Amino acid sequence: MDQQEQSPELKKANLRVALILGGLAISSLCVAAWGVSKTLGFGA
Amino acid sequence: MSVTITQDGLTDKATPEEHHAEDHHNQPPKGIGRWIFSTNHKDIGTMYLIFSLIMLFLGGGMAMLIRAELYFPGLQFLEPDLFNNMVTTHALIMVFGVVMPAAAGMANWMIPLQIGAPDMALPRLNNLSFWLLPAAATLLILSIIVPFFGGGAPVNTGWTLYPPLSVQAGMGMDLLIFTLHVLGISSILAAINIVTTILNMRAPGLDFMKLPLFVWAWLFTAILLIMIMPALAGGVTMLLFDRHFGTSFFDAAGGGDPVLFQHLFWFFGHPEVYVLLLPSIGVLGIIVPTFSRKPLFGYKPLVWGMGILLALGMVVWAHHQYTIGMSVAATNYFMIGTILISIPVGLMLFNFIFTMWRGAMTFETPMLFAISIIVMFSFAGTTGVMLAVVPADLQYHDTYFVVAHFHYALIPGALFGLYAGVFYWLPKWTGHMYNETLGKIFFWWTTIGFNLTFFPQHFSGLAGMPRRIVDYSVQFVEFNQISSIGAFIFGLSHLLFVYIIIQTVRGGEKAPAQPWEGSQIGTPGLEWTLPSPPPFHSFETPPTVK
Repeated sequence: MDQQEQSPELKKANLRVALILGGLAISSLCVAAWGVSKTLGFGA
Repeated sequence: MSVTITQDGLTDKATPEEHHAEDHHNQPPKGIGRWIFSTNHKDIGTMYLIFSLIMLFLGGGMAMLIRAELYFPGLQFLEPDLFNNMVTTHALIMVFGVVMPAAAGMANWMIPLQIGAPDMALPRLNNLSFWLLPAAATLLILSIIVPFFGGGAPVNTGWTLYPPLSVQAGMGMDLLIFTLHVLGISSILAAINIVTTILNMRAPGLDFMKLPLFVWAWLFTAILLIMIMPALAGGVTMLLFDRHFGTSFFDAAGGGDPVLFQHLFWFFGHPEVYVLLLPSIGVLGIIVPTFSRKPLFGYKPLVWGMGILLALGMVVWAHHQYTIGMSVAATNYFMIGTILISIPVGLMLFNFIFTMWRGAMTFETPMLFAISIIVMFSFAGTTGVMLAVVPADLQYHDTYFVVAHFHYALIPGALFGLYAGVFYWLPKWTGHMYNETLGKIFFWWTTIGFNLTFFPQHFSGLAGMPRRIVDYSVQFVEFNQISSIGAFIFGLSHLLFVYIIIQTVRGGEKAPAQPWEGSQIGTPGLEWTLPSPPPFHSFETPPTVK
């Protein structure tokens, strides 16, 4: 899909969704890392 | 086959006034009533697909919890009973809440369009079939929550719900039994609708041997569903009676036998895997010729193969029960039947490979999924033949080898088939092309993650790691850690999947009526004669097929 064909509102809306989903991904990785470090006894 | 449309497929009205009136009629109703009271196969199909996507995250989340717990030996953060509850509900959600509704959603969208019908044969029954699903999902979620509020022990039996353990479970088990009742009713009604539609509402001239393979696949799937769901319903109802009404169907002390439940369950459970598989085979039967620009190598053998698979699949259920103490004669029979099933499956897979041979192939996302399905489902077939051999299965049974086998069968065989169908038909459903680059990234991300998750499980199973355990011996740590990392990679890829769908629904490059160049080859469906997206009411006048 040609990015230039998207209207600015559509681009903004899609960016919002992408940031939310990306944030979900990163926060789940952080939770996983915290869990692993807790099990290994690294504190936190 | 060439398709001649004698009407425009939208309306046969002549005057401008009648066209104007038709436009009003062809608009969807406004407000929430459009969805709650829908009798439109496209809207109901959309609802099935959205429901399935939500359940994918629920069931997938449980899988993430399971794999997180199993990253290290010892207990991490899940109580043993809750872990077993996650294992149970993960499977039930994936089978009944993700794959079956998504396949039904695709059937709802595509079968009327492909056969030139204005809608399903029984539109109000269609509505009921869908709306039973959120009710069932609510009961399922309640069954997880109720143990936390004094409802007894959680359901910790695995999705097979074997007594006597399931007789001892708390209130959650009763809620789960009701969930299965409701899901069973939904599936049976949908299946009746699909069979009636395919048999009665094909466009004039559309003979059975001109049907797209997806329609044949769903005809067989629906017949299978009608035959097997009553067995499950009977079994779980007998369980309910044993739990509350003093019967002893499955209690040896009262003259019953727990093995009876196993037979009832697996008489449903084995054909159920073909219910999960056949729609994806149907999708493959459309995608492979399209992107190879070559008709199917053998259309009739594929139809026959699906039929033989259905027949054989009904009579091999006890290969899930080799260790219960059956006679050698019985285990031999089930072993031979199970090994024979590899013949029609092999027929289908070789058919797809020979379709691609010397074809003019391009590798868009649906085709990437299709090829990966053929390869990875063959791994499942190989391990399946290994498991079919009785003396070997005595070692493999209840180990992670079985878990690896069925995930290789179900994820490529069912889930990836659905993804392939989604990417293939998204342009038709939404009127926009999806982002091909993101689609390819999703394909590679999900395939690598899936293989990283489940390939090591073959080895941990062969090394002796049992199934359904919250804690394991230290010699299995490395395999489990690789598997857990793979599971997180696989799980996260679905966030990209959601993004691609949202982006495509909202807008993008306009999709033509025929977005895929090869879609007219062989036995094309009539959906490509309609604009993208199709109007709210399509084929109000049936087209004629020559």
